[in-house]
Order: sequence, then C-alpha cells, then structure tokens
Amino acid sequence: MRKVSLLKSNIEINGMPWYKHNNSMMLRLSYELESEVNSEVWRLAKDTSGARIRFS
Amino acid sequence: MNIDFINLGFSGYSTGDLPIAKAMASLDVSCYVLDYGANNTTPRNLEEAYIPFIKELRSGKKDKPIVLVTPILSSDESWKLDVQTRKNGLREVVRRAYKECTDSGDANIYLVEGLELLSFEDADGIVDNNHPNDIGFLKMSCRLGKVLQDILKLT
Repeated sequence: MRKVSLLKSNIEINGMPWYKHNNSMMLRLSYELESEVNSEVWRLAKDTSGARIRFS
Repeated sequence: MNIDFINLGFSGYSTGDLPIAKAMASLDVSCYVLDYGANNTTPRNLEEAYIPFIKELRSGKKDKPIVLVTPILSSDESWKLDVQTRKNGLREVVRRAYKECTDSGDANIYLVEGLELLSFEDADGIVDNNHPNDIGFLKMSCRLGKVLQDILKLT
C-alpha cells in the first residue's frame, strides 16, 4: 500500500471547480461565499459530494 | 457520456440563492441543469427565487444551455392531497418560468418534466417518498442523459 498526497501528486480532481482558488481546501464553493450563503449550504459545501479523483 | 460534471446540490437547502447563481455563472461550463424546485417549501417561495436565479445565470453565460427540471415524483402524492397540490404547484412555477424565458426570446433554455425522469410507474425507485434510491438515480441519469446528449450534440 502506498499513500499519495493529493497536494503533491498529479491526481486530477473533478467536480470541485474552486479547488485551486481555495488553496486546495476541500470545498464545493469558493471560500468567499461563506458569508453570503446560509449556514446549512456552507456546511454542506464542505461535504465533497460529487467530487472525484482521476488516476492518470 | 464521459463528460465532467459539478454537483452544487446542498440537500434540502438548495432553494435558489442568488450568490449560488452568481458563482455558477462564473464557471466555464457547457450546460446548466436546475433541479432544485422540490426544496422550496411553497410554490410562492420558488416563484420568488426561480426567475431571478435564471436571470443571474444568464447575465454571465448568455449562450449556454439551461435545462429546467420540474420536481420528480413524490410517492406520497398518490395518497396525500396536500403533497400533490404542492408538487404540482412547484411544477407549474418551473413551466411558467420556461414559458416566460422562451417568450422573451431565450432560445437556449429547455424544460424537462421530472415525472418523465421518475414517474408513478417508477415508484420502486424512491426510498422515502421523496428521494431516489439507486434504481431511481439510475433511471433518472439514463433519461436525463439522453436529453443532455441531444442538447450538447454528443450523439
């Protein structure tokens, strides 16, 4: 078994368009939206539902 | 279909907040699918949010297809009149929004009936009156996939 860091690999991340913008934080929305959306939306934005990694 | 997708569903809290529309409009995507109508508690709530949400999307992406989906089946529509009335009201809001958009000249907006994605004949695809199970999701994705293939000319 080999552990691979997402931050130090070429693994492609799909479904999280603001991943780089968010400094590699696992968020489904841009971090700037935290103060603009309701607290439940923000809580669920931290769940990575629909995000995928691709080994290439 | 071998295409990427971005899921911006937030359980029952996706009700058409404008900051979400603004964020979506900033993305480089090929198509938008709006399927959050069932989360609004009343047709009036949905009506207040729905057209402004589409307008915000259109302000950023004037040429991208937008697919509007009316709420899918709630199996308790069969025996609860209040649920049936609410769901039909929500569906009408989406249909009216589609008509308003097309009447005003938007030629790249599409309407998908949720009951054609998951209908009374597919009730085994629902787990708790409201949410699809694996069978339901599979049926929905196959049926919506065909629509998206046509719109995006992937066939």
